[in-house]
Amino acid sequence: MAATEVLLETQNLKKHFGGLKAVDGVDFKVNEGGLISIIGPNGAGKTTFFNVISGTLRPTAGKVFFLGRGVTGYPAHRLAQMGLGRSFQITNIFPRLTVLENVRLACQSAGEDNFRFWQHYRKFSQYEEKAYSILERVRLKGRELQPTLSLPHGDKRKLEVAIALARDPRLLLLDEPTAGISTEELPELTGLIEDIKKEGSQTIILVEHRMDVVTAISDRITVFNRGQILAEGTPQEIMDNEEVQKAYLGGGGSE
Amino acid sequence: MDAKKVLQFFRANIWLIILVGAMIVYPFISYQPYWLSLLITIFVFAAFALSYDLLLGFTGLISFGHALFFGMGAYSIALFGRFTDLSFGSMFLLLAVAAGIIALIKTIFAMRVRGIYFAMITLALAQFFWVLVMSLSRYTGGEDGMPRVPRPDFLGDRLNFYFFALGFLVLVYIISRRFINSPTGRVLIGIRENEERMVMLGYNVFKYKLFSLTLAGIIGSFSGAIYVMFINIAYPALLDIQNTIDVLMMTIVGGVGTLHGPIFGAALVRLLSHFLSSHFRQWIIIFGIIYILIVVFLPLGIFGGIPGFSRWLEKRGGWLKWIAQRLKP
Ligand SMILES: Nc1ncnc2c1ncn2[C@@H]1O[C@H](COP(=O)(O)OP(=O)(O)O)[C@@H](O)[C@H]1O
Ligand SMILES: [Mg+2]
Repeated sequence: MAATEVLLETQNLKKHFGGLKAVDGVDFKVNEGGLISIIGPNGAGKTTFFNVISGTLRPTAGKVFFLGRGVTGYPAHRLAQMGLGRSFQITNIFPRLTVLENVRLACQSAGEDNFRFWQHYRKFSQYEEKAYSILERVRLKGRELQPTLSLPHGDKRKLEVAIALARDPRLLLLDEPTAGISTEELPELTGLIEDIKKEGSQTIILVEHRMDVVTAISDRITVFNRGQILAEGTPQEIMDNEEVQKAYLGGGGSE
Repeated sequence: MDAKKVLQFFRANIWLIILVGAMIVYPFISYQPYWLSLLITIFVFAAFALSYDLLLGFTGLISFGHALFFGMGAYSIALFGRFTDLSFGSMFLLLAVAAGIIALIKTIFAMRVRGIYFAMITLALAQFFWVLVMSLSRYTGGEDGMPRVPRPDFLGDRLNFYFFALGFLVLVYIISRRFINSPTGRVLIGIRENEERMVMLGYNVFKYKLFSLTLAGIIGSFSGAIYVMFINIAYPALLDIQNTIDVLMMTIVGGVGTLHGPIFGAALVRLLSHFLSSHFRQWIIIFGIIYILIVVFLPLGIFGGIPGFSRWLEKRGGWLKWIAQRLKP
């Protein structure tokens, strides 16, 4: 597949919860390479959109294509196997396992040894080695053997990204990786995302409701509001867009 | 194998070796049929409890119907013996297949309902078989059970049976230990910890739960089969909720999520009920009190505790709370 090929596409995608139209007719397209941000006020439907394209939720209507294949209604684990990785807005890790084991399990998932039930797991050292390298990549080196439970919040957010990265996904969905992060810690995390972007093996869709965070690192930005796409364009175009300004000022978007 | 490795093995398994060694020499030191019988039932129930812990402690699946496997093993052997002339090898093979089928049914439910709902469905399944056994009394003897369970000739000797049951337990222990430390076992632990995340990592949870339930089912049903070969009668109570509660108690008392826990839990529960029931009329009340004391003062079970995890668990009120959390749908 050529590098300019469409990686992910949705057509008229809808997810309704009863009367609530969380995602309501979204046409969205991502080409391979680069970083696209989705911004929008709280409740705009960004997380729900992720849930639908990653297979966690079935869409009410519409279609999803991934790698040129119709994948609407595919179970989440199949999409993950196809190369879709995801991090969560609310930290979703293995709290009672060590930091290393969190990532090692993620690395193991991509291998062929998941049904080896007799040999000791540490004999399959490639996963452990990979986990070490990923932890280094997300700047968690030195924390490997710590129980995850005792990590400070900022490190938990990094681990969240590390787990999503471990399978080397073609498409990486990051749902507010900076959620709950203090202003002082913010540059560390945004720097981390920039690094991943620079390394260039992943196409990234970043959800973030803080506009200042995304304008610097995004190639393009899509603005969600009330389940629909309000605007789409380069960071500059989005900043100049009056409708976006209005939605942000009047739409109840909070920090 | 070099000497260093052998030494390392001995050091790592010192308690296992001492215990198994003691169990091997015991009957030669003091041959008392009564105690031998008691130990045989302990070995069998320890294996049964271990299989339960594979589900509860290592996969995070709480079942109220684990007795189904045990009872199925018991009745299969009794029925095979009466109505077929299969070899023991093929009996156990068929039993393993049947356990796999039940495991498949349970896994299908486990993918659709969680927590208490799953537990209740497993209970209903076990009760269904109980009703089946009661209503097909022409074949199963109904309430009276099925006496004269077949067993290989060499197991007619109590001492031989003792070593057979001990060997079975050791085998189950070794298989379980290798299993939970294997890549597959680690996946199960991941599912226990955070199923949603495992799915997002590309793990097909269905396959792993099926694996775990099948292994637990095979061990559980083999335990039941061996048990009735020993006591020489299959009866409906082997299928009922009390049997599941017993095995749940053994696991909790010993320590959920450990391998030695269920073994010692089985020993303790069996010994206590034997001792108490022969000395006190209201022994079940005393037993209940001891059980509560253990849960309150040793919330991790007597032998419980994965390092690090123990502290976490302690802060959160122990296994009962943990299980209560599991029950949330
Ligand atoms: N599982 C669900 N059931 C019902 N309503 C939901 C569910 N998930 C999200 N919603 C609702 O959908 C809307 C969009 O939510 P969400 O996608 O989380 O927004 P965002 O991530 O942009 O803040 C919100 O009003 C939210 O309450
Ligand atoms: Mg959100």
